[in-house]
Amino acid sequence: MNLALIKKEIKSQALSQKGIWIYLAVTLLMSCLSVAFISVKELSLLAQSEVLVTFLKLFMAISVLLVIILGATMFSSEKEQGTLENLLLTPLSKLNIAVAKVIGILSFWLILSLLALPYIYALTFGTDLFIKVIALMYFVGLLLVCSFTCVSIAISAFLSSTKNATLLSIMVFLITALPVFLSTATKKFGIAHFLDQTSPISTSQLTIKNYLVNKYGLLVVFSNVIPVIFFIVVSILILIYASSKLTLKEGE
Amino acid sequence: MERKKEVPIITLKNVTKKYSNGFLAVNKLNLNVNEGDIYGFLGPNGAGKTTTIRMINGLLTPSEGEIKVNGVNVLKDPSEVKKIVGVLPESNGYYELMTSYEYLMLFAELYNVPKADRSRRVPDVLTMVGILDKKDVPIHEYSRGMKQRLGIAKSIIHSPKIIFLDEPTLGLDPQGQKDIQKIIFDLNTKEKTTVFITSHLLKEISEICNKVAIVNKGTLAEEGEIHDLINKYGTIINDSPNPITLEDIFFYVTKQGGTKQ
Repeated sequence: MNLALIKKEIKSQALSQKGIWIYLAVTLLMSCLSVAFISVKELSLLAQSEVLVTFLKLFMAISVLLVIILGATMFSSEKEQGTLENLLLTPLSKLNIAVAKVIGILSFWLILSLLALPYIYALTFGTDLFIKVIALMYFVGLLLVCSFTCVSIAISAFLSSTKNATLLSIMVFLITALPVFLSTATKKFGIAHFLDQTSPISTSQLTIKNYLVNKYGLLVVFSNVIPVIFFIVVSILILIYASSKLTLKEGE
Repeated sequence: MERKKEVPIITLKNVTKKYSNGFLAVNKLNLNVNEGDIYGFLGPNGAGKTTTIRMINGLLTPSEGEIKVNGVNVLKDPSEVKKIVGVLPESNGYYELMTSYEYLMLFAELYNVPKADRSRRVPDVLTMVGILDKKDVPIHEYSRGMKQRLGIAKSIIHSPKIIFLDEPTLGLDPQGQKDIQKIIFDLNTKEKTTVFITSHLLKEISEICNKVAIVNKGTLAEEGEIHDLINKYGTIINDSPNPITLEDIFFYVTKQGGTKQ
């Protein structure tokens, strides 16, 4: 593990001008959502736990989309700017370089999650749900963010164009999120049922709902989250394979 | 000129590189670079120069053949080779928002330069390439010439035994070219670094290199000390009353398309 490279990645992702603009935009979005949610809660139109489920789902969707977009640029932009060759010329292993990039993106998400804390506090005010929501965010949320970070960085290791890497990463996200767009009746049978039971996105949403709304115990919650754990293991293996294949384009 | 004792530092034996699309970039190439050489690696565009440099540095794997750098087999231990070589790639990119000081500190750490030496080494190399006064200026404000100097500084930050400079004067004005030549010469004489350089500026090569290799279509067309080649081809190339130059030899051997066995 090379600290200099990790520091460089954190600086260029989490502490960059681009990062600050993203924090501002997400903060603005969370402010609008929170005002809307508190209004419906005050009018007793929606239970507080339902409000939190929706907020958490939205925050996770935004998080995953952002890390996908950032991850897809990690190696492909270095290829486009001609900086990858200098990194590969150092004695660092390719996996070391990839891990530094994962840490850079996770540090960005960590700041994003810290910005969400006051909003979660406001939305859980007067209940005992704050710790539960935080636990879900830093367990299920972190698993999802880590997985999609690894997948999008792996894609950017294979492709030379940032645009193509971003498009492909978003496609992967949409495919894994497919069951979310299906109706409840469709999801009860056949392939749609299988997809719904194995998709990391739909099972993470089910986990959130079962823990916060249905008040299921930890055992059920852990069994819900198994596909997400399986997905992160696969994602890490994909990243290890992709980083071992990381090279400059032939004849470039 | 007094001949130096010849200690081989880079040897290529029958090195071939065939890309996955079937293109034969390098074909049974044999090279011998000695310690302390300023070795010019010449050839027309697409001759396989950059591919050869990347294979020597462990970035590309040869399809056949053996490459040894300072006695280390590149295929078996690429990371050991990377520790003792510095490279200025042809299309070198920079982290443009960093200052040159930050950039060099980063690479000093990536090359495992001891912490105690880094704060001394970075100003030293910035002084050597003549941009110490710009050390706190973001790289995106640098001219092309300054970026090339910074690239050379990066390639020598870890005091390598060998540096590879792929077209280091490409796109520079005459003064910039002269300045880079002086840096290369200083590196070779003061830091005792072996220099492996590619360039299309044959006059520049004949001024700074003691030995050259000319490749054509991935094959070695000629290799030797410049004065030996001038003696050899002086009697062969008769179409000019003036003494022959490296340029004459280059055009002759690349047009002949012959290979040196």
